[in-house]
Amino acid sequence: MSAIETAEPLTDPIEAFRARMDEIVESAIAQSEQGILGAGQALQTIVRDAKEYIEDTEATMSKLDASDGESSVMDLIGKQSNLIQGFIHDLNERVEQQDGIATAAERSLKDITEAGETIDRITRESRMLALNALIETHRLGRDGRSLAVIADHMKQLSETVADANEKIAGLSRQLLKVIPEMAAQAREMRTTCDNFSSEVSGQIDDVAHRTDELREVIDTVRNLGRERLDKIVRASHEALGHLAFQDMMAQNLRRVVTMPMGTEPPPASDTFVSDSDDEDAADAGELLLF
Amino acid sequence: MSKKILVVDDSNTIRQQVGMCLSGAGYTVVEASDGAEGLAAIKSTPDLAMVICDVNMPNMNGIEMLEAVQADGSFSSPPVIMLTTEGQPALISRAKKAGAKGWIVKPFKPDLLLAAAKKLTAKAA
Repeated sequence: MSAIETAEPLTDPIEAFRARMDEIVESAIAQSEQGILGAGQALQTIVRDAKEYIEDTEATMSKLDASDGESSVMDLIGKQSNLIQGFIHDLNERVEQQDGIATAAERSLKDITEAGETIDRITRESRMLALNALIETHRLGRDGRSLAVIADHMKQLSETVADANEKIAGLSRQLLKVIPEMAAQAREMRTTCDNFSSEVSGQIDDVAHRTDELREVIDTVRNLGRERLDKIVRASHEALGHLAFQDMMAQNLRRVVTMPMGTEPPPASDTFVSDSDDEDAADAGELLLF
Repeated sequence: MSKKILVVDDSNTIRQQVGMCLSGAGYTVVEASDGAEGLAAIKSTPDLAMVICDVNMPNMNGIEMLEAVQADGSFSSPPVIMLTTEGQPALISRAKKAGAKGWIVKPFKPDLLLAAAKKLTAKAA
């Protein structure tokens, strides 16, 4: 049994037809409205998800570079590089100082050795002089006693100086073994430090280069994200424009249903303005600002 | 804080579409489904930056709503732009007299609507 058959019997069949038409039209409008609302909701979800994705990506990118003004990974890499470079610079300076001290010590040791040789020569001559003075005191007999005392003092002094010089020579020999070794180690340390420095500098340059590359990638990701989002928003606007047909359709259908019987139907169009020949009338999609 | 725009339209789909368009651009959207509701919303929401209003609506149409706002005079109305299927000069002229600042004929172009919103809300600020 159809809906029309179950409806209340109306006296005027035209009114009954109108009522039924109205019912069908309203039902169609309601169904299309539900469909369009669902499509609009889905569109809204797409745009919102796209925005959230781009915002999340931007937040992640901001953590990598310094665009958010906080300590970023890039900043930390830069700070670490500067610290390493500063440490290497200090280390180089210290090693250079060490090398200079070792070289100066070598030079001083050479001077001490030369001075020791001079003292040794003087001591030998003093001994010889004391020996000659002693021989002379024996020849002079009683007259040479006072000279004998001086010659004896001179001999003792020479022996003391010789002993002291021997101790200095012993120390010099020990230092002669240690100081060149120390100087060699300082030079070796300097070479190692130079090699390390140039290797680390190369790596730091590499890190700086990679950091620049990463920044470019971050910028590219950001720009692409914004471009894509703009495209999505533009597409969503276009889709919204298409979805707006439902309201037009609903209003047109209601006009048809309510128009007096026997009148001409309006021309098929998107809007009601097209039936106006007035030049001052506004066209579909037009914006007038007063 | 985002600017607040009132959308007055009896069509659920148009309110949704205009709302999406505006909220996507950062505006806060308030909705009313006819002129009477729209009038109440204008009176109760003093920080409205703009109103977008349909003409043909049940209870009170958009132009009647505008005229009621104008006649009241107890509060300052935000700029109102009409968004309608109608395009007759007589209606446009009546809306203009009642204080409307613009007229858009449906189906609306979102970019155009946003351009109008940007211009009118900037003036309001």
